[in-house]
Amino acid sequence: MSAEKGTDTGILPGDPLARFIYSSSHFSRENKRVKHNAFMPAADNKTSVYRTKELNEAGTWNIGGEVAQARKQTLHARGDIVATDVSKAGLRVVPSEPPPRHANIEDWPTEKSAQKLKAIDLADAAKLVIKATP
Amino acid sequence: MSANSLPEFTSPYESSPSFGLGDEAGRVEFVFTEMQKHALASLSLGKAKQYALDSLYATFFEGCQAGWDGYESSTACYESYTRAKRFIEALPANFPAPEVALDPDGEVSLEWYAGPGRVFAISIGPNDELTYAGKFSPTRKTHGTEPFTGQVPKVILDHLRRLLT
Repeated sequence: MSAEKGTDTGILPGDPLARFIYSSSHFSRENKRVKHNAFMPAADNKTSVYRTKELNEAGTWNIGGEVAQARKQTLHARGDIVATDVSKAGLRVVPSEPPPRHANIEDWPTEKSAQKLKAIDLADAAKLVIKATP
Repeated sequence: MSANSLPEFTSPYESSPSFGLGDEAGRVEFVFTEMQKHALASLSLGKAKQYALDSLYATFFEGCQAGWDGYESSTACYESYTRAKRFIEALPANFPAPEVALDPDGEVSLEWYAGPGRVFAISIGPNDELTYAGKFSPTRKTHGTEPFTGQVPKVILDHLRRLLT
């Protein structure tokens, strides 16, 4: 399946995805970039993201803010990518609701060094958006 | 300067924080004591390495708290921390110090960034295994593992040279 045609999950190549960042070590203010660690998969071999299509900035931050509140974490920033960045890395976005708009990046290799390389590709494609402090 | 204007983290040597971290508290206290012991020795490492060691400590400390990254990741691995400290200290003086982060499995990750699309990163496992990946251009990439015996492996140094030249 080509990236242009979308995926069998209904997610189009240009659909925006946000990875919310709650660790200050997962992004660099100095270089204005997301670090690859932010995209590394969890123990279940999935990376949690949210589909932010047709959401404005406030709506996007609200999603991450709700998670931060529920888990008593500080929301520092987010890494914005699009679905085609995931497919270019040889990975797949799979909707996983609830919560609404939630999805996982799946198909990670089992070897950690190979995971790191794919996470580097995702971080390289990501745009860092730092949350403004009130 | 008022107390309110002090940064949240200034130096690992200045005070003894106590956040009541349960099982992690003992380990954190141990790390703190160790850092105090090595504070003077660290002064001879140079500013870049000192900054990396400070960042390592701060990152480890953050990672000792449950749910540190908001995704139910493993807490920071102390064995990885101690090896990362040794790795930074063993890095030849003519190499830049890395940026420090934590992986979801609790391992310390060291990363060198040389511009967009040019990154080299390693994770340090508790079993003295270095897991690395590097991207030098859109098509020139590498990944693998190397043992860590207290000295930075030649393969890692070669990849860093490749990144930085």
